[in-house]
Amino acid sequence: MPKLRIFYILSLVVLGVLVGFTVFKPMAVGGEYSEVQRKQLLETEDGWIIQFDIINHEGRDIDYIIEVSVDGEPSKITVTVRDESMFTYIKHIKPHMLTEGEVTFMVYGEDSKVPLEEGTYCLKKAEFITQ
Amino acid sequence: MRKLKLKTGSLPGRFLRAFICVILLLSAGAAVVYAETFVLPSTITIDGTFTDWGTTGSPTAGAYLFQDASNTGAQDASVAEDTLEDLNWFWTAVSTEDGGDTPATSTNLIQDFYYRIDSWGDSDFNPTQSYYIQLNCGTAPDGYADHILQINGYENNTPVVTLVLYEYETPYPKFRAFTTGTIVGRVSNVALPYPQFTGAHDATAAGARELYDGTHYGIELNIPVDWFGLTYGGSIKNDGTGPNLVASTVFSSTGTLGSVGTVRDTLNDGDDNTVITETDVEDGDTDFDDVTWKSYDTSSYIPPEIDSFTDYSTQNIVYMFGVGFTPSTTTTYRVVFWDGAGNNVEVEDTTTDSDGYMSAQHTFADPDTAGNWHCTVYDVDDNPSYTPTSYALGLSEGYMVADDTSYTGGYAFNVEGTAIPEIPTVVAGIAIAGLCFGIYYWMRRRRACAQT
Repeated sequence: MPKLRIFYILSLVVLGVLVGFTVFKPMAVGGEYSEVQRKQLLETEDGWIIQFDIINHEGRDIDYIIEVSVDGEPSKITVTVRDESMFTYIKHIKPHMLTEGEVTFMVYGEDSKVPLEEGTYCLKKAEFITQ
Repeated sequence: MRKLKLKTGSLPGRFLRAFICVILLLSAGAAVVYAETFVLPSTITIDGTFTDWGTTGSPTAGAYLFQDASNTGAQDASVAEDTLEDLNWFWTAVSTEDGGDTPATSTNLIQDFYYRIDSWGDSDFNPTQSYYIQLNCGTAPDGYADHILQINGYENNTPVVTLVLYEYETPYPKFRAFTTGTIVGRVSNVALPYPQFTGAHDATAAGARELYDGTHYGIELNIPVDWFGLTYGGSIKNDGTGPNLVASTVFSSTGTLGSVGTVRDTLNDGDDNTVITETDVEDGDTDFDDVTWKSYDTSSYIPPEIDSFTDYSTQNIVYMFGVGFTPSTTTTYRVVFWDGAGNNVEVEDTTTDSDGYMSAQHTFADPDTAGNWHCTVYDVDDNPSYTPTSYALGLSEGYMVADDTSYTGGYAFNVEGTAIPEIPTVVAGIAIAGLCFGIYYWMRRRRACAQT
């Protein structure tokens, strides 16, 4: 029984440490990095939505460049994301904006020539022709 | 932002009037103070004397006014100038028992809404000349009309001014889609305004028409607050606890009593945009806007606007909705959400619908910061790469077209930490696992005790 009690107390201590680590986020010190998460293409009644999150773990504020091309029509914005913060980008695409239906996006960190994330979607305009 | 715009026209007389108005406004500008306030029930009398409204340069405290600035905007027919259908000034006021800046409460009830329409007409009225105030009384979604008030003045009628409040059947029409929608007459200041009328008769509403400046005709009227309440399909309450805004658009029409007719002149700003008037029933203030941009906690955008987000289960998403944007067929508008720490937490590139209605939304999530938030809209047609690095810079860089400033301090809304899921999934998982282990251990111990 004493062994079990010791094991129980140790378990609580480990649990507390884990909870503390997670709350204060020291487990995220595995390097300075940026990441793109929750990348998704949503289909709505009247078009599509491209959405993704940019998360900054670089240890400083970072300017990110987002380039989106809808059938060759470029759109480029720069956003500042604070350290340890997240930014969500959403772009609505309506059928009338499309010809071939090719949509690409790229995300760069500042001073980086290598995309942090990139993707291409092929959207079919015909599906959204109204009656 | 409240705006005063001058009507423009091609006739020399119109320029002369505009010039005189400019001089008057400039000379009186320093003295014009728009306190957010109600009038007393005795302040405005509906008797055809307009002096109790004050002057355009110095309106009575609690009276708000806007001058139609164009006859060329969308749904704004090029009406014959100097006619009754040609709008000039539009005035509003709201009375409470106590008047002044005391908020409407159960002990300081809202009494009447007052409207006044000044036309450029200098001849008598005719039976097919009506004015309309298209209303959102808090029942229809934001940007949609649930009622329309018809104002008809004809000298052969008794009384001269007939008022009819119609309720729109669903689907509710959009503001500025003036001639669409099915209407049902609900209440009038006369018993039978038109043969098919089956609504109520309430003579506590009244109107009067006279020359407001010695040359041109105007109509003033009062509408009891009950007309906009539950009895007739609205949601406005006399103690101020209902929707906090009565939104409206104003136009003249050829419609006879019982019908709307053809729109002739709308209340427009200098950019030809239709002006939406928003009367705050909490403080009596009326704003005249060509673009509205508000926050809600549901995607139905049913008033009232929500400026406080506190409950994660029901308010984890803020829905923004606006009216009056330029209809666009390409990506035109960039919506930015700024959290309580001033961080740009979301950019949404979006378009309007064919009527200039636009929406956006943000889901509160870690690491969003609680506090006072901004939500702004930028026109990036001419600069597709534009995104301000801070809310403050966005104010001055010339691309902002809408900014919800309805919350205290000029913010869009307030977000409490309780609306943001601050406990990450990993923490929740560990906590639950720990709890399970604890229960398991407790049960084993009880079983061991029972066996011994």
